[in-house]
Amino acid sequence: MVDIFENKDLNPILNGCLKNDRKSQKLLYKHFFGYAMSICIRYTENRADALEVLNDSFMKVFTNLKNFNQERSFKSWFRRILINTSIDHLKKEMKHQYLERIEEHEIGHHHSFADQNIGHEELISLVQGLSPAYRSVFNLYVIDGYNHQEIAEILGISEGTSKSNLSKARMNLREMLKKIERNEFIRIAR
Amino acid sequence: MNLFELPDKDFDSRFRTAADSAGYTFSEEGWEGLEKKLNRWERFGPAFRRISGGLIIVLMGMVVFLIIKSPGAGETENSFNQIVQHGIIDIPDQDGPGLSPDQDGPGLSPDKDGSGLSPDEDRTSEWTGQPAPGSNENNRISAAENPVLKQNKQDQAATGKLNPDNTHSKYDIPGKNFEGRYIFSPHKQNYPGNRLTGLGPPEVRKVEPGNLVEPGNLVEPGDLMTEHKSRMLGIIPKKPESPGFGYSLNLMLGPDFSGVGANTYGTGTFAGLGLELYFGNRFSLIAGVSYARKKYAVQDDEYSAPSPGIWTYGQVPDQVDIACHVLDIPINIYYSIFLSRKNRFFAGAGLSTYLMLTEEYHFEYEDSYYTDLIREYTLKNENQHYFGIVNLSAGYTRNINDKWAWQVEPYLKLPIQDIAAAKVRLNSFGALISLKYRFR
Repeated sequence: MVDIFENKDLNPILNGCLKNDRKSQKLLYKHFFGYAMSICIRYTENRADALEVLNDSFMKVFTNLKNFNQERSFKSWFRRILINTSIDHLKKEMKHQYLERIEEHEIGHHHSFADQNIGHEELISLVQGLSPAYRSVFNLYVIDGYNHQEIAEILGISEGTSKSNLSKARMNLREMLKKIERNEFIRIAR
Repeated sequence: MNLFELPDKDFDSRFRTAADSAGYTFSEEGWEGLEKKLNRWERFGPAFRRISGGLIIVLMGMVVFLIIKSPGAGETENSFNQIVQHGIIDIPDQDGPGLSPDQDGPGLSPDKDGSGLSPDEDRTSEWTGQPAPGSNENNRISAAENPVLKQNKQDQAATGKLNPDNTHSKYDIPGKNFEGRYIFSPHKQNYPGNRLTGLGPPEVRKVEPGNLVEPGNLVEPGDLMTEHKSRMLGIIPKKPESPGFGYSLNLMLGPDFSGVGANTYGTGTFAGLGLELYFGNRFSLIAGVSYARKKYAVQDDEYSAPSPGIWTYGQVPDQVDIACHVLDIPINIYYSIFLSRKNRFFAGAGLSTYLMLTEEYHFEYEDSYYTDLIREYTLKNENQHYFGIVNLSAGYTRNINDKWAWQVEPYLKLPIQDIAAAKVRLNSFGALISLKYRFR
């Protein structure tokens, strides 16, 4: 299968986007939708928010494409835009929302008992259930590979806070998984 | 082992795998949302950028003007030092101990040794009781290097009247009558406040009968050399005549871009009449009445229902297009940052009152199953917002003649209240072109 992300075939599409050609823009959107959503969904609380962040990111791509050097990897450039836009969204969210207590977070009933049966999307939905502060650090560190110093700079917090939030994020995720296990056990016992 | 029991490294790895493996299919609905944004951006984005870019250019231009027009303190002092050291000019002065010829002051003498300093240079310290600043050896400039002396020599060559004995610069031109004309005089009388020379401040004087005149110091209209020398002397250029108290009638017209957020700006018009009152040289106050037509679109949480119960079946519109006719009553204060006889750069701030004459709402529902939804709604004279908008502007005025002037004024209007029945945070920007008629 041809990987259009790294393929030079992407350049004609990008050139079309530079001319504000809708067809090229839609093609680019279509190709990168899954990739973009897999990033945005982790940083947001639900799919609607993820779609909003995704579209905001694409707007940035289309309006700033002239600044992109086509000799470089579009995917990396786009990934940076996606993460930055997601972080901006999270910062807004953090302004309006106090840290959510883990007990208050309702875990869906669709999770299976055995951990090996928990699907990828279910795991991501657990990440979405974290408070914005924990979610941002967990995503940046565990999945996107930033170190604590970089995270501290991105989020405007101290490295210590970053480490502490990561630890609490893991703890909350473990608690959620335990809760799933308990609920599943009760369901099966009944 | 349960997932929650895994060590951190493995625990993280499971989430990383999940993130990489989760698959999401293309959403047509998502694309439609983006397409709408793109359409709006293409309609209004470039206009927004052009206006804000224009505003930035005007502000930068004003800053550059300010920097160019304000002389640095050091520059004045150095220029004055050079004058004192090299005795650029002097004229006879009978009122004080100035550098009159009979005192052998350091006049316009091209020095013999080419050092750039006249033999009498140290007289400066005699007047002040302290060494003249910058009078040490290191600061000596040769005549060839010294632009002032070079120019002085050129002046003398041009007049064909070099000082015969090269001892001082004062000379008369037989047969030339400069009586009644103006010359520069660097110092008139003792002036303790002048720490450099102890002499009076430079001034422009009228030639009296019997004065010796150096033609290079004659004030000629439009004479660049004269202007240069006046700067070197530290003479403050004559300020434009103060307008004092006066008033003008301003006719204003321009485009108005209004909207909420970043991507929903619509183009409207702005026209008005203002009375501008001038207070002294720098300040003016303008009050007036303007009519503005503001068109914009709002979505999501950017607006409220303009009337209770207007959303039939609880169905909220996807977009609301709004057109308002507004009477804008501004009171602004302008401050002239740069002022000359012909030009003025200014900045202004103030408050506006909006009287909403009409508010026309058009509700857009997408994919609605209901056919009987309210789609149009109009209000007349329902809302007034007294001093609810902050005005910020900067601009440029060009005088056509004593009475008429034109002006360009980019502006920004920011709400401090929710505007209209839909309670929107309505921002506006644009650029006013004004024609001004001054009554006094």
